[in-house]
Amino acid sequence: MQQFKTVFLYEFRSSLKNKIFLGFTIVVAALILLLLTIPPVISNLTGGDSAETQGQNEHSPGTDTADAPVITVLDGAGIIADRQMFEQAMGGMYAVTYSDDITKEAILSQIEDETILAGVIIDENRGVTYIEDQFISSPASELVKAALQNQVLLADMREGGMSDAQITQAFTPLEFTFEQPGKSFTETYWYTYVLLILLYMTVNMYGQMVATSVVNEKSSRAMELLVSSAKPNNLMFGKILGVGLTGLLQISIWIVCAASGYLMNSAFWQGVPFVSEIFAMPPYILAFMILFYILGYFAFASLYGAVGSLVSRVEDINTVSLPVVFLFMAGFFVSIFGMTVPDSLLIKIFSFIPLYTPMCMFVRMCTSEVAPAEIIISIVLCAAFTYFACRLAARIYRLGVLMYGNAPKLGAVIKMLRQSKKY
Amino acid sequence: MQLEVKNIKKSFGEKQVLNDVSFCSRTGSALGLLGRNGAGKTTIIRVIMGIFPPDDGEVTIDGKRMSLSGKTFGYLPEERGLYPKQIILDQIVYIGMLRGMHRAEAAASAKQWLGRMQMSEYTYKKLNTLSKGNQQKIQLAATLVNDPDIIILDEPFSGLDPVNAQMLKDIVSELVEAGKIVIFSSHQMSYVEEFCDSIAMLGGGRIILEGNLKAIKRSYDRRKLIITPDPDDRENGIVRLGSLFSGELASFVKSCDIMQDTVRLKLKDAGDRNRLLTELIRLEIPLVRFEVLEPSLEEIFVEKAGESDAAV
Repeated sequence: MQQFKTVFLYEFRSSLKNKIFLGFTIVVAALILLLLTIPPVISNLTGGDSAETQGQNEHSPGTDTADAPVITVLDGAGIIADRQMFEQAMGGMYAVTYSDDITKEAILSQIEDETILAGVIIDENRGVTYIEDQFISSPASELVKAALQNQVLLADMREGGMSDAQITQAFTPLEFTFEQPGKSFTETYWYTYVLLILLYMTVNMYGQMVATSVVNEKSSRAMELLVSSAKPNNLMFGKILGVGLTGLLQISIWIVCAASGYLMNSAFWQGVPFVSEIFAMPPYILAFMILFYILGYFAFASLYGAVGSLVSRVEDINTVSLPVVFLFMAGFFVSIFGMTVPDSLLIKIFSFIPLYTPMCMFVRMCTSEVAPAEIIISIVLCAAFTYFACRLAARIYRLGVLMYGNAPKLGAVIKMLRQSKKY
Repeated sequence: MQLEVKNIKKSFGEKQVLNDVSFCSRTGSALGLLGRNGAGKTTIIRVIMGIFPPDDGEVTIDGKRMSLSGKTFGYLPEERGLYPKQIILDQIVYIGMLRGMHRAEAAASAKQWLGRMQMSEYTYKKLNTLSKGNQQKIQLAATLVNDPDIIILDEPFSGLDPVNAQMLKDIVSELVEAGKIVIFSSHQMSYVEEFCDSIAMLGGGRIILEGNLKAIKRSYDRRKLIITPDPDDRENGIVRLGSLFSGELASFVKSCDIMQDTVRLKLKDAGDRNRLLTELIRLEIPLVRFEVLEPSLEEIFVEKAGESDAAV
């Protein structure tokens, strides 16, 4: 135990002192703080509430259509009873001009000159011809079609004797709310996404760090002295835990930075939906994220440690760790897919595969209701797998002393493990 | 204390690397582990250290099967290496702690060894800022930091300048005097002859020669002679000897090498030594030296290792 503690503390200190790690932690922490602080500051400097400013900006193009593309209308049937309403229906994106005698040819030539975007000819029988240099349909044509339909409706309503008040009420859009049973997709989407990316990034990064650390010991030949001084299990577990704790510390720093950046500017960010949704995540989700980070990290770090033991040069890490990276990416893609369909059979199966439990079960928990028994079973399976993976990695680590030169094939590794089994 | 290696067998895949290897080393003595490249020296060292298990056989200390705790070992691997980018003191302390020492104890011992090796000024420097020879000394400090009972040194002199080599010689002698078991693997036979009371020579995975070095040398038949006649009387001395060994006394001689003032002679039969001396006195050769040469370890090595290769 003493030996394990020694290895663990040494690895923890070494990775803390690693300048690249230190720089990366600080840069990302600073970025998080800046990203959460600068927009509110800018908004304060430019004055006023951001939401209001944005609202005004959105409206402004509607009042000024001077530069907007022009649609020319020849209303032969007198359909357009309320020109103001018709123009408003263009949403400020198109300007409308009216003509009493324009011909199809004139419209075509004006479209060619680019003086107008489109032309509309309505004959006496309410037949509408829409001309635009577009294939089948365009946003403008859809708008014109709907606006004309409304004009017809409006004319008929007036003819039928409806009052303006009744007509206005009839044209007022309904208040339409979409509700989803269980967890709401929109509420969970952003924080699940952010946490999943964080999980993927950190587990992969620290896993690679373990592999690099093992290979460095081999390439510097420190390994021979280490395996003759300490038990491989202690060396491997101590290393994995040391690097893992550094990772946890790093994530915690980032989370604290994000939380304080958000809280300091909460007035501003509460008006920005996806950011406020991220920070509205339930605390238990964060706790599970930490738990799944630990499980996922140990499972993958042991695999990375094992493949790191197989090679003796840092340049070779990428080649041998490729299968692990692919394994990992498969889980990531299934999780991304699972975010939109959390009840699909695929993600349910994947959430019980120990290597994928940390990502897939986590996504399921975030986006849907999962029975506690399922969560417990998957975690137990994953923990058991992780324990055996670490032990296997330690054995490969010890055998790694012998492996200099080219990386051995999988078959050769299994054979060597079998031969060393009785030890 | 006695370290015994008993009937060790070890193979990697199809290749039998060690085949029934046995030898023994005692407190207060150094054992020279010899063998050509690929003879299995590093493998037997790794088996002794418990880095991997033998297929058969065992390693015992005072008759008890050895524990793998590593507490009593100090190992200087042939492939040297520590962490290049870490502070020297930190890594020596780390190795000491891995072998069961407390931090303060390990730090004190590390500083003491660094001082002994005149490396104190580098205590807080990074390893990769040092020259190869100095890195070697750091490695030796890491080997000895836990005051081990059994010290295994694999090619300890490679890369050391004569001054450092002398320092290492002194340290090894002190360790032997302090009652440690020292196992010393090297191709530099002169060092082995200087330190080691006994040797174990490996060839093709087997022990081809083992025992007390002096006894081994004595066991060789003494057919080699050095004869030096009076250098002031060359006519009766070296010149006459030359003609005698190719004429009248040729029946004694297997080979003869006449140098400036001396003759190196190999007899056909070691038992002819006294008869030859009698003859030379009878012939009134003015002798100043008539000496029987013991084979050097290097010669024994070349002969034995060559034989073992021929057998394979």
